[in-house]
Amino acid sequence: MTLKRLFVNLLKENSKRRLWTIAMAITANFFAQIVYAILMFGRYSERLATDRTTLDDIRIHFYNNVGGMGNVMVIGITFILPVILALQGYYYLLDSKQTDLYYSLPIKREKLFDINNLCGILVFAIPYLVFNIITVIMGLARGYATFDTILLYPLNALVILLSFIMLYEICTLAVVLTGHIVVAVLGCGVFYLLGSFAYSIFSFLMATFFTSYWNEVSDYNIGYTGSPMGLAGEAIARLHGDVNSEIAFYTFDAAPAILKMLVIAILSFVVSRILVKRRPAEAAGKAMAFSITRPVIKVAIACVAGLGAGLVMYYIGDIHSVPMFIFGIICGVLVVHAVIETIYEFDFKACLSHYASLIVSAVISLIVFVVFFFDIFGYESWQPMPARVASVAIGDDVTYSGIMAPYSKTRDVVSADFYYGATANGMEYALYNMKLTDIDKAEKLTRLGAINAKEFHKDAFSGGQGIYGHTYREDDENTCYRQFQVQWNLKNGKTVRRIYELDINNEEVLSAFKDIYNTDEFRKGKFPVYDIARGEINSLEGQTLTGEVRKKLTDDEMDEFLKIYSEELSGQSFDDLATQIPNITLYGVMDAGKQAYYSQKYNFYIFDSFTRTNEFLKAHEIPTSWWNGDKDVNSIKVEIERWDDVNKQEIYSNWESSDSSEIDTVLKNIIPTDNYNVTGMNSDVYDEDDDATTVQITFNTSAGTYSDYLVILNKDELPDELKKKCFVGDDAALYRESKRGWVKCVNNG
Amino acid sequence: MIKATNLSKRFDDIQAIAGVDLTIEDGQVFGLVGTNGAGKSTFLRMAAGILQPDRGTVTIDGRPVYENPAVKREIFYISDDTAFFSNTTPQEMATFYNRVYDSFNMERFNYLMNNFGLDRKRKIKTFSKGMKKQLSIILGISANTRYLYCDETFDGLDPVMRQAVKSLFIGDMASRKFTPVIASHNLRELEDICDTVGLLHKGGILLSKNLDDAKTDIHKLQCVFRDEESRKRIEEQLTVLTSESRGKLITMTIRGQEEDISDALRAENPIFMEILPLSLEEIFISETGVQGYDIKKIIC
Repeated sequence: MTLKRLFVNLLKENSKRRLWTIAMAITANFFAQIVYAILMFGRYSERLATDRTTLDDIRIHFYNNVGGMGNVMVIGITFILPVILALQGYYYLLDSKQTDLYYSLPIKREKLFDINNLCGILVFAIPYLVFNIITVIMGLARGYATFDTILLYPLNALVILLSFIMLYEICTLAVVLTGHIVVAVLGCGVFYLLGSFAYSIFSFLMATFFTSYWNEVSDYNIGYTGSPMGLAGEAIARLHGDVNSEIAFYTFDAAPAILKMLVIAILSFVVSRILVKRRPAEAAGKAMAFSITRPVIKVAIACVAGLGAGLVMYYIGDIHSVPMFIFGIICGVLVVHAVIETIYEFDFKACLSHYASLIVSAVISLIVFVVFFFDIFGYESWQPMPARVASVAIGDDVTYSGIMAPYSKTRDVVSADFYYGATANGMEYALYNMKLTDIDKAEKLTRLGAINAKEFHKDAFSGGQGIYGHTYREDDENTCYRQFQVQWNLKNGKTVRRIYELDINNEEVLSAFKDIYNTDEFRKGKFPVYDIARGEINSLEGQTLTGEVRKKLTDDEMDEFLKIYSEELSGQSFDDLATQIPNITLYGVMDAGKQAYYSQKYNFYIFDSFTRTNEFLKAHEIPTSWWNGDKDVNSIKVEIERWDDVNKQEIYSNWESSDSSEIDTVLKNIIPTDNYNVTGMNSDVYDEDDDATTVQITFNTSAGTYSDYLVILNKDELPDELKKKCFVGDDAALYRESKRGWVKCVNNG
Repeated sequence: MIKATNLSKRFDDIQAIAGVDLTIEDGQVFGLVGTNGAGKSTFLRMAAGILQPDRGTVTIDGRPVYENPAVKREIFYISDDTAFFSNTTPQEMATFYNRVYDSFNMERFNYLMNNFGLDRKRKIKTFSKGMKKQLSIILGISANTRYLYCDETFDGLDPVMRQAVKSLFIGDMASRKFTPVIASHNLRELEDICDTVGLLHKGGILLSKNLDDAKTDIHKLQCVFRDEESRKRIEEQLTVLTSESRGKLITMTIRGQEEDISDALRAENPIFMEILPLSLEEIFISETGVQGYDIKKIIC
């Protein structure tokens, strides 16, 4: 019998051993693709019939969620089936009877491995591909897929297959390294999750100990980075089409993730294949097949778990206690060591054996803690050498904090919100797009940040208090700390990010920031308006006190608007901005009529000083002020939420009026929250003298009612009763977290 | 010819096989006997290429067995704990082996299955322990390999089946190159069928020789000496493995040829003497007893 024929024959025989997993793969893929497609087709038809969507939108949805990458059920199968198939296929390595049966056969171990490997892949690949082809054909027949995008589907299928193969090879490695089915399952879990767990712990440690750490903890990536599932998810997400963009416009972005998956898959396969040859047959039934891997894996898990337990202990209660952190490390390491030793030996009495590795784990964990606690490597103060820096990006929350831009124009494409065409914040946009080449100018600000971060680290831990969450500092009444995110784009292609909190009441800081703000490079990086392509938006919409207004423009008109607005934005200096508040916020949207997922892409703050912009808007009957329609207001109702400092409770009260003079007075002294905050305030920051607060106001007009949260200013000009309810004396502060505001700070400065 | 040279294998702290040198000639039934934990199964697993020796080699006609499919095609291994693929039938197992072993004879398999009264399409998991053993042997014989390794295979077979299997072995040995290697505790069974035995104890080989030679080389002597001096002289002259007195009747196990023992005894003119051949079981007990594996020590 030829080798090739033997291989095929053995492959056939192997498939007979996998009948139930074949059935499972077929059933799961059938439901995940065919049945799901049929269900979605019904929904599409219904939505089309009722004019709630467009065919283009459905095509993108079909690509994203049914026939292409983002079919959640297929992704689920891709993640779970590798574990089952690897355990089933290589079960003969875990059972001594089966090991004897297989290894007595006149077949090389590598060949047995190859046959099982290929068979496992085919068990998933064949039903997946068959049902995927059928699903796409169904989509084509119904017009939900088009021939011009047809090549994307096999590309997607390849990425799904590659994801599966990578996870399958990783699970195979876990099985080869272990000798017992329960331990093998745990091994798959370790390989799936240990990396992401370690990365999460690392991120939490960084966020806990370093004030200048760019905090990723709340980010979508945190649970997935370091995990093979996360890598697969990243590739899938990057191939995802955006509702407001072309299908799969991130294909090139997915290349690194795809390449990494390929490398991991090949590496896992090769290592497993080598290990299978070296794996002793008597390893079947033992916890671990290779004695050398036992301490390595144990110490790795124990260190991560120890540091994790340290963090948990540190954050228990309100007191951030360093001794509790150390106690947590010791407890975590001890417990994990005991559990792993019990698993290794299948004997609870062995839980404290091999105590040398227990000591090693504890020592490593404590060293890591010490490195973070004392900032041994000078993380807080480190900055790249200017000679290595190609450009710098600085995101700030001092100016224009509410700027929005599509995710497609930031790096943050792997986001839960991404699928709905949502926007990224201005800070993220700036960091991605800004290229400040005057490194010395940027360095004036970043150097101050580094000095401050180092001092903050020292102060924070000398008081035993953590840093987590970047709580604004309050050194004294005259300080006003604001956040600056800095990204150095190095010449070698890498990036370095830091967050600095700087007191903008400090003349040196303010001066350094002003110098940067007033440059063209900063403006072009900060404001997305400079990078809006023709046809990207076709409408402007805005909110006035009487409701929403939307106006469609031609491409030429929109280009003209963008040109005028850009020019006037460029002419607005830092000092100009400090004394202005916009009259209205307009949003740039792509109005596709029946588009299902309608969203705002950009926002434009319209100031009085933007005279040409105001003229353009008036000429096109677009409101230039939030107060448009103020003459139609018949009555207003102000709802106030006040904190009773004496009784420690919130007090709710209302003030209503239909008196036209009172209405006029109130209207003159209110401003939409977004507009008020555009000059650097956060929503929880108010003027120091309690001269402004946020209330909810309902306006009754002949056209209907409109309600919004607004900032109410100038208390002395308000009707007496309203003033009393909003500002009851100097000590009856309204609910807030801080008194300071940038306007005040700048004025002080 | 199977040849093990300086074969050693350790499982963690346990030395299962230590420096075993053993040769198994073709065309004979080789019995591998030994105490519990002596390393019989380990030896067979190494001889089948399942386990990799820590030291030494197992070769067939000079070719190493481990990871050598060409050599392993000449071996069929039946483990003491019979293993089959899960949820499979005898027919499916035969089909599998037919694909793996070029020499597999499907007609013979069908013939033997019919003769043994086993259903080819019944799930193996529904078989009794004895039926599974029968199936293993049928598959092994049908594989038509030069060597058939049977690890405790006869345990669990009823006497009729044992005889049938023995007949099959004898028939195959007569018709083709066939060498069964049988590891067992059932020494009486091996005695009937084996030509050569290898005796393992504590991981080492105590003896390996033709069973008839082994029997002629060791004898049981019962005699009544005229005086104690006669007994002492006999013990000095001959290789006495064991000696036991029951009143004046002395029972000895003596290594040596029957004529030599007889001559020595006659010279002492005993009151009564009788030289008896030893069964394989008695040889086993004597040989292992010399090595300290003494029944009396275990009982006491």
